[in-house]
Parts: sequence; C-alpha cells; structure tokens
Amino acid sequence: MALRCARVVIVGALFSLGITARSDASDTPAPPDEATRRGAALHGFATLGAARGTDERSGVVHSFSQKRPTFDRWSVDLDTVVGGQLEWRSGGAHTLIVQGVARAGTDFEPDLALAFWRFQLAPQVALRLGRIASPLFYDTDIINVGYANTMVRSPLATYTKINAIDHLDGADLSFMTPVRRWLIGAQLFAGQATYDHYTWDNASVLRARADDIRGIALTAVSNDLKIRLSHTASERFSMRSRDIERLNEALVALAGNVRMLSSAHERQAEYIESLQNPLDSRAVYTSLSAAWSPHRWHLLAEWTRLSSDRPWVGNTDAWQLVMARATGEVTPYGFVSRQTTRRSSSMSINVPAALAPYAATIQATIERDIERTDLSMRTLGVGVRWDFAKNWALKLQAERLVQDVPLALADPATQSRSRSNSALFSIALDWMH
Amino acid sequence: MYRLRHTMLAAWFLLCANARATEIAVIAHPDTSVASISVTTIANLFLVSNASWPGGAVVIPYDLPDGSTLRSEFYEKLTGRSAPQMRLYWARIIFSGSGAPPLQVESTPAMLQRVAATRGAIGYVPREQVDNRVKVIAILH
Repeated sequence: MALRCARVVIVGALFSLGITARSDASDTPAPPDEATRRGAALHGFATLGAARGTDERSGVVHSFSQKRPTFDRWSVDLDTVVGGQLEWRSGGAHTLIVQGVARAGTDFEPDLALAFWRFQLAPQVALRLGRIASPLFYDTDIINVGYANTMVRSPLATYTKINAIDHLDGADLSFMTPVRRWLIGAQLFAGQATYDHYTWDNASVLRARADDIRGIALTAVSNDLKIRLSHTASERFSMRSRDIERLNEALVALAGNVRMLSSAHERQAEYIESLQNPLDSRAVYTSLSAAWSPHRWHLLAEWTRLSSDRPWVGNTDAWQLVMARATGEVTPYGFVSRQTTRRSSSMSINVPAALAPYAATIQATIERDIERTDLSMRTLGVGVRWDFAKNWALKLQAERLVQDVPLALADPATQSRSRSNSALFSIALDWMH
Repeated sequence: MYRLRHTMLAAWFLLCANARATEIAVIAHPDTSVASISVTTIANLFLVSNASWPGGAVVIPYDLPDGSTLRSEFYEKLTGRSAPQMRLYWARIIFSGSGAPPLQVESTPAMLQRVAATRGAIGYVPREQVDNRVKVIAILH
C-alpha cells in the first residue's frame, strides 16, 4: 500500500512537472537567431480514463501487462496513464530522448518507454540506438499516449495481444526519400523486448521475452495518405515462470518413464521432451495498414498477423477499420475490429496406457496455458472526441465486445471456454504538452 | 421580391467569405533552386520530419505559434485538417520519438526574417506581406 502511495506521489510530481513546463514553455517561439534546434525540451502527456463492462464474468485488459482486468465496475486500470518526455538536441546531428510512462493498470510502476540516441547520418538517413518505440503495428509506437489517438484506445481486438511490447531495446536505421509526389521511407530495426505477462485468470505471472528481433517497416506518404507495411520476426519468443518450470520437470519425468517402459518408445520420449516450454516459438508479426485523412475525415484500415512455428499456438489474424470525421472541435468516430486465432493442430501426448492418466494431466495443463494466450474476439464501437481546449480532449466511447474466450473470469471455479457478449463504456480525459 | 432578397443574401455571404479568405504565400530562402512546388510536396515538407527538398537538400520548415489564425488557415488549406487534428498529428510524431514539429517563430515578420536568413528554409506568410528577401514557391488560395 505504501509503495503504491509512493508511486502515486511520483506520478503526481511528474504530472505537475508537465503542467509547470506547460505554463513556462508553452508555445515559446524559437529565439530569432536560432536556425536549428538546440537545447532541452520537456513534453508530457496524461490520460485520466475510466471504463466499465457489463459482464461480471468477463474482463478486459489493455495489454498482457495489466495486472487486473476491468469487469462490470468502473475502473481506471484500463486507460489511465501519465508520461513525461525529455529531449535534448545538439543543434546538429545528435538528439537524445528519454520518455517515462506509468500506467494505473500496473500500479503506476514507472517504465522507461523510450531512451535513445539519434544520429542523423545524412539528410535522409538516421540511426537510433537504445530503447525505441515498437514498430510492430501501426499504433504500437503511441500506444500509451491517449491524446495521440482519435479514439480512447486502439481496438482491443487488434492490439491487446501486442500492446505489452511497446518498445524494443536495440537500434533502427531509417531512410526517407521523395519519389514524385510520395515520400518513401524504410526502417530497419533489431533488438529485444521483455515484459511481465499476467494470465487472464491472474493465476500466474510469466516473464515474456522476445529475443533476436529483426524487422523492416516500409512507408509511403503523400499528404493525406499513408501506407505502411511492416514485417518483424523474433527468433526466440519465450515465456518463463515457476509453473512452466514445474511443467518442464513433469515432461522430463514423463519422458523418462516412457523410456523405462521400452527402448522402442524412444521417439515418443523425445517428442515429450520437445514439449518443454510449450509457449516458446519463433514469432512473426506482420502489419499492413492504410491511413487516409482527406478533408476532416480520418480513415484507417489495418490487417495484422501474428504467426508462430508451434502448431498448437497457431496464427492470430486481426483487422481494424476506423472512421472519424472532425466537425470543429468535435470528432465522432466508429470502429470495428476482429481477432481470430487458428491452430493447425492440437497438441497431443501419446504414451503407453500405464502412463495415460499422468500424460492427460500434463496435456490439460499445457492446453490451459495455450488458451490463456487466446484473445479471439470482435469489437464494434462508436465514440466522440471533444477537443474542448488547446491540448485537452475529452472522449466518450461505447463498444460491444464478443469474446470467444473470456479474457478473465471473476469466479475461478467457473473457468471454462464460453462466449461472452458484453458492452464496454469508457470516458477519458487526455492532455498533452 | 422573395427571390431578390435571397440572391442579395447569397451575394453578401459570398463577399464575406471572399473577404475572410487569405491568400497564403509559401516562401523559401532565395537560393532555393525550386521554382514552384505542388501542394502535396509542401505538405510532405512540413509534416514529415527530416524531409528534404526535391533534389535532396535539407529542408528547415518554420511555423507560426499554435493558436495563430494564419497557422490554422495554412494547415487547413494545405491538408484539410483543423487545429485540433494537427495537434493530434504532432502528438503522434513527438511521443513516438520519430521526429519533431517545425521550429516556431513568433510572427510573420520573424518568419520572413528567418526564411530569408536560413538556407533550406520554408515558411508561409500572407501574400500581401511578401517582400523581395524571400522566394515565393506557391500560393495557397
């Protein structure tokens, strides 16, 4: 409790710092003799958001890192966040940026969202080293910044599964050049990412780690149209916890027992051993998006795929369509989104009859762990954004969520696969400087 | 009589609309090799960090302060986006760490002075305020 209070105080201080900076530095024009950027600048953002669902059994989370799902009571855990960003520019080719973020859903534990050094190698080529924003999908680089999103948040069906990877530790090299009426850009990136993964029933916490990430994002920009394609592979995506360790020990023991029964079962034993760390895989993230903003309109279409080389983990396809139209300070919007996970085969453990009950228990444990990562759902929502003052926005949003597998169940005794059809209401006050 | 009143009313609205519309000159440093430029290219130069002139030279865009009427009109004519939409746009750029909005100058005289003094610079002023220190590369109606 004391720790949480201390975090709230720190977050409050950070927010105050942002407000102070706003009053001191807001809109201060560059000195007349300054031709290039030089010196430090402080930016901040905050969202005070509350959301509630209508199903006491089924909860929703912003990302796998959120500690407590939001059920049928008003909660600030889904959207409330505060962040500060410090920039230093040399006036030449060098820039340093550090951004800290604290979300209510993680008890305001401060997180270093960005921390990189940027070097402009040439007018059209830049290198960044350090912690950079995630380039996996269209919105992953601003996932914590409510003000920067027309809506309260990017659709849960498309983004919940990816939001926890909001930054990469590594480097990127970006290149941009004009081609006729287009600006064509390429971003090559590499690195790794880690996060704490809370299962939907809050039964366990896993340490998720995506290693050896390599990817490319291509963009084409022409005034009001932006097309983006990104392809990212993590050669080793792993999830570790005490429960996984126990499962591994059980698999090794089972494999040993199979060998003891007969040397003819060697291949079966090897297969059982290969099931250790069942959630580990080579993960590939692909996103194709088009954002079009003709006069006062904003249209966004995105298709994404998360594929795994483990057949029982399967491939997750998702898409979103967003439409908004600004009329003065008021922007009504609507969206539809869907995520589906398809498994090419279910995992099965075939053992001699004497070991079947033991194997069945292990198999059930693995299948439960796999189901905990399945967020198949579809959403349909409407909302309105009101930019009632400079750098402030108020949003109201209502959506219908149909979850094929409830993300969280209030009563552990009733845990089972079932479809949940519920509504989610949100109100958010966004600020940025 | 009824039709005449409507016609006069429509004409009055049209006159008012024309009187309010400002022609905005997009200006550049006089050494800029670009003679004229499309609206799409101008938008790219202002909206995309580290964009470059056709030909590859570094571009340094200048902006008026947020809240300035001319700035709102400029982006409205250039992109069709309102001031709140532009703030949302820049929030994405700033907080994703992918760039920074253009440098700000305090007034149109300062804009003329900065663009005239800075190689690669681009800015905007009301057409009637243009002087011979800068090069006009486009007019936004």
